[in-house]
Amino acid sequence: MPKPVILSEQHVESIEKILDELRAKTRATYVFLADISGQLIDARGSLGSTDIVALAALSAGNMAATAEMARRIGEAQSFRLMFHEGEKSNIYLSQVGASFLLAVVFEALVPIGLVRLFSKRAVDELQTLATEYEGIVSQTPTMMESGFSTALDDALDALLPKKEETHRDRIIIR
Amino acid sequence: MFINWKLKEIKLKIVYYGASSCGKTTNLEYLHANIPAGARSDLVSLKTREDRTIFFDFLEIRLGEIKGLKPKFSLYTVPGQVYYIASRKLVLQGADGAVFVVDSAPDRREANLEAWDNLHTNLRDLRLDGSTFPIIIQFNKRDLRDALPITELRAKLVCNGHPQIEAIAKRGIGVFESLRPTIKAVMVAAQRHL
Repeated sequence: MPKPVILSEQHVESIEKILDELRAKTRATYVFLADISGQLIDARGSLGSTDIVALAALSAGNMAATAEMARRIGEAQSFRLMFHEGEKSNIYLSQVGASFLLAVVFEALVPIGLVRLFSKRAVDELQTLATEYEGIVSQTPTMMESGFSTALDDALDALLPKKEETHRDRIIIR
Repeated sequence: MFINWKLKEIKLKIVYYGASSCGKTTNLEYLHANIPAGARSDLVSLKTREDRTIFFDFLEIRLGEIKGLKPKFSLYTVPGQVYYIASRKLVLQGADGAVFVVDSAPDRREANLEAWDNLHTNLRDLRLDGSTFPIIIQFNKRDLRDALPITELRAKLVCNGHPQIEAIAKRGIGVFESLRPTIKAVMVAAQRHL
């Protein structure tokens, strides 16, 4: 299993503070932080009906694809930022260290320079946080209570119910 | 694995791997259609005009609160076609487990093997141990008239120790049944790493 990313309550609050400030200063519609495997870490702002989880996965995919583009044109590192311009909304993506990405979704009226300036500041702050983060991981207590496994089975049975066992097509091999 | 201690969320990533047209996207489409909207995200599909996955499909499933924890599972598919091979590794990055979908058609023998070998190569490149990494094998398209016998498929893939399930994904047979043990396996592995 890849190295887990475990964020303490304190970390989440620090991230929220950085994202809230970035959003306020850039007058963005919303901002979010994700890791490069596509997991959404936090989102702040007016999401409306946006499926932010899917958007985070797509942003990470986008970042990964452009990293490969960077490599192929001879860049030693991946691109630090990406900007997609739309008619009404824009999205500005910045890389945060090697493992995370920061996205700002904002209306076309907001000057890009503002987003660029405050994104850079937020990236620096998030990077400092990522450095501190290493020390806190080991303090995380074991989080799964006894009985978790049975409760998980019940939840799985409810969400993915077992079909009638009579279907002749299905044979489960042990 | 990603854990947000404040929200008590645990997020795990599961990748559907396999040769082109073996039914990876079909699995996700069935899950999307048969899991209540409140327990899943939108299904994101990045497809070519020929309906082939170019980069990945994505679907998140939420199990609700279990003993104070909220497990969420990001399901991805990798593109099956060999010329999109580079993006398979990108999608596999950060994965906690995989469902390997096998096409039972006789003319897909080599393609299945190529994808299986490629999965293990990519796991090695990502410094993950193929023998302990949770992999559930789904033998799909069991309704084909000329489907290869399971014994032959098993022998070719050297499935030692990995749970195996027969499926007809387009009819939803074996889809939930493949996901359930995968979720269990990644949760067990996650617990070991905490």
